[in-house]
Amino acid sequence: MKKGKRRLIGFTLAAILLVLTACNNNGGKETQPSATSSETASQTGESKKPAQDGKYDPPITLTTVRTVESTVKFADGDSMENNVWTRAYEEEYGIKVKTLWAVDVSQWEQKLNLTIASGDIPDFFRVSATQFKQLAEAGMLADLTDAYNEHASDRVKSLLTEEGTGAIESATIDGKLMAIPFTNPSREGVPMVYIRADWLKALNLPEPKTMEDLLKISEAFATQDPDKNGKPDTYGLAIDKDFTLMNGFFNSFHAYPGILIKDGEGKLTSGLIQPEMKTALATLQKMFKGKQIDPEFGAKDITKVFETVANGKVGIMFYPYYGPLYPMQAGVDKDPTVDWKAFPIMSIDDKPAKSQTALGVLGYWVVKKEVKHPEAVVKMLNFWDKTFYENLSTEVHEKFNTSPDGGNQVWLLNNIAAYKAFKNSDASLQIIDALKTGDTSKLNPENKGVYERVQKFKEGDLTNWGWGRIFDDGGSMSVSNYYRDNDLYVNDEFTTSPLESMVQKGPVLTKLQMEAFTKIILGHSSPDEFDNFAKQWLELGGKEMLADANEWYLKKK
Amino acid sequence: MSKKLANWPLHLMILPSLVLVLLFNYGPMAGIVIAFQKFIPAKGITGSEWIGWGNFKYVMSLPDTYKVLQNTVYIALMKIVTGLVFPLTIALLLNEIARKFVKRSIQTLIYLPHFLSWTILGGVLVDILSPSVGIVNEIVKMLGFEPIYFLGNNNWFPYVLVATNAWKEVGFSTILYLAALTSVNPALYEAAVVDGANRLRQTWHVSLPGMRPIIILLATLSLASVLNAGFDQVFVLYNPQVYASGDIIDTFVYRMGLISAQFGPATAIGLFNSIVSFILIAVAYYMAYRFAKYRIF
Repeated sequence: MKKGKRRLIGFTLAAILLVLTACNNNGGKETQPSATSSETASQTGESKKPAQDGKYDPPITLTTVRTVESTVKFADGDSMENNVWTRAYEEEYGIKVKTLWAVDVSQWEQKLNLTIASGDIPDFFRVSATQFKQLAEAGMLADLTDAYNEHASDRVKSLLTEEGTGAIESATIDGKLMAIPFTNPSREGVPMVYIRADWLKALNLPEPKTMEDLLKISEAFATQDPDKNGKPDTYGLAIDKDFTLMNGFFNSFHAYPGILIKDGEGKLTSGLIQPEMKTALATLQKMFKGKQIDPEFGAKDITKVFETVANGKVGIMFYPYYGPLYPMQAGVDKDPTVDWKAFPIMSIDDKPAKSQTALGVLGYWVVKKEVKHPEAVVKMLNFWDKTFYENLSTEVHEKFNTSPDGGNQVWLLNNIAAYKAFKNSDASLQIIDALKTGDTSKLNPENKGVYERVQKFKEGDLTNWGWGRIFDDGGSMSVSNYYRDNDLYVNDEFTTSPLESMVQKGPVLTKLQMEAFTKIILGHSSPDEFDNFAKQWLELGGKEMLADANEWYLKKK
Repeated sequence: MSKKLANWPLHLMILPSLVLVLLFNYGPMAGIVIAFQKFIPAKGITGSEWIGWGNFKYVMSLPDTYKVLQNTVYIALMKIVTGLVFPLTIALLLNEIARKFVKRSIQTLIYLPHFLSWTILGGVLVDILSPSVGIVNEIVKMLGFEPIYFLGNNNWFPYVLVATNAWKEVGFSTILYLAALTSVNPALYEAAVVDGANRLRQTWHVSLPGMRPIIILLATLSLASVLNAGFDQVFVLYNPQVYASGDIIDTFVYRMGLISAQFGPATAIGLFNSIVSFILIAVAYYMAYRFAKYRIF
């Protein structure tokens, strides 16, 4: 009995000790940031002369926060604090990067909002458009104008302006550059039409030239049993319940949902409520009645729709250039006779069809106001460009970009990046060239890898079908290049962070739109109901949003 | 030494959990003040402007709010009723099965779905309930009816939610009732048999009265969840066709708070939800004490 009691006490104490140490750890972690930031201040204070191009001596320390990338494996002994990228920053420029915390991408937004709310922000980090606006308004950010003008390499400058000056402008407030835009290819990734080429052949149909042709093909796919299994179990067009796959379809009708376009008088208006949208929805209703659309699409999200693609049940899909790798490759793996071909989106009339694009910005790299050397961030960006885009050496590629085993995306460990607008388009042009001439000397290590995969596909290896259908001549990248050469884009005229009315009215309006569109397509309400929807949309907050957007637009000019 | 002091190691043992609860459950509660703020993350709680009941007024002015509230209460009430009736019935039926092996097998089988997440079940249910290829509709067709689009029909959708929830959780709740049944004195059954009672009579006059405290207890406690219609399940199953009958407070808050970052109004609804639930919990505990002599301490 006595022994038991002593044991109990021992156990209790151990439990308490455990909790206390856990608390201590927590406390430790939380006090660390402030300690390092004061350290930073003193260190940056010491190095009085900012090195123009070379190293900081003594080295400076910058704190940051970041996401953990699941596709990156650390080499032995490496960590977020100490890896090829951080070592390179230090060797090259004398910049020590200290990661205060790193979380899984699913928690990123939440955790960052908390950090911002606490007022104790790191020296530099990535934020969303809304967060950028909030931080700038709160006066917490450094002016990067001089740092950028003096220290950014010409190549970085051209990288950031590849899709026009919109990205830089969106990061500029009152003439001052308050952030480096994290540019992202928006044009390269616009949707195209994928059609089951083997079904076209089976039904003896010509390749489509216009949207009319495409609609006829869709009808044939649904009614003429293209897979010859004797059952009417195939559909023309792939649709998901959230309309994720539908922008390309709507754009074919010159309708542009989700972006702001200019109306006849040069004012901003929503692409969502234009009459072209009504025509597109009426067509979808007709297709639904003709059984060209999965009758259960309304309950299927995009992954469910991909299942029907992989199972060979649908013949037309609007999707960006990477469609052949996923989900189409899955269909080819199941059935080697499956073949998809990419076409540019087609127009319903004689005007060319143009794809809608938003501003190509993933976020903004911002620097805390108190940081002494904001230009250090620009230098790190120069380094990113040099190693990721301009590098030709295999050794550097394997060290900083992708390790030879293929699975390890070391490049994701960078602390600042910006993506080229047409990286894959350019790559495909080079690869097509190399395939024709057999001369691979101009390919960088990454593109050479792709070249080899395409080569394998051409020799009959269907596991590389997706790579072939993307990068080979006539593949999806060729369609992207066609858009690019002919400038077939309609830009979102609204290029800043969401305005307050947009944030407020957004959820209600989106729900209204989803309900109205679904009902029209299902035939529960007539296409004329669209006019009613447009009216309601304006009444429930759309009018307010457009007024605010126009006010911003006038100021911008 | 008094008796109370002698138990000090036991009280000490509760300390770690107390610390954790204070740290993770009560500490963050300070954050609910943003329900009364025009909250801007960059300015933080201390820097954001106070707007009194503004967020509540804003939420009440939204056209969807009342419909959403109505859906929530309707779905949750049905879930509470089915959550009581089905497990109780199944427990009584299982109790009548003499073969241990059969009884255990059934118990395990109906218990299994509890361990699947709604994310997985969502994908499965879309297939099972599909009007063209789903097994449920195959049965409906065999019985001579038209196939029903369960996930796309506003008349059916709430019942689908209730039924699938009952299917998933019934085995788990059954355990409680089975446990209660074992505590019924076997002598009472013997006495009933002597008095000439058949199986049904035994159930009615011995089993059910014996289980009365636990039934009342569970019924009153479930009252507290009347505003909790289940986020995960609704989120994976609902779609634009059934917004009218399926949108609940939690999905509404999700769209407003997490998708469009309106933290103030989202917190306001959350707070409203918590206060109603708190009142109901208090009432439920009082009633549980009144009718079933149940107390936590």
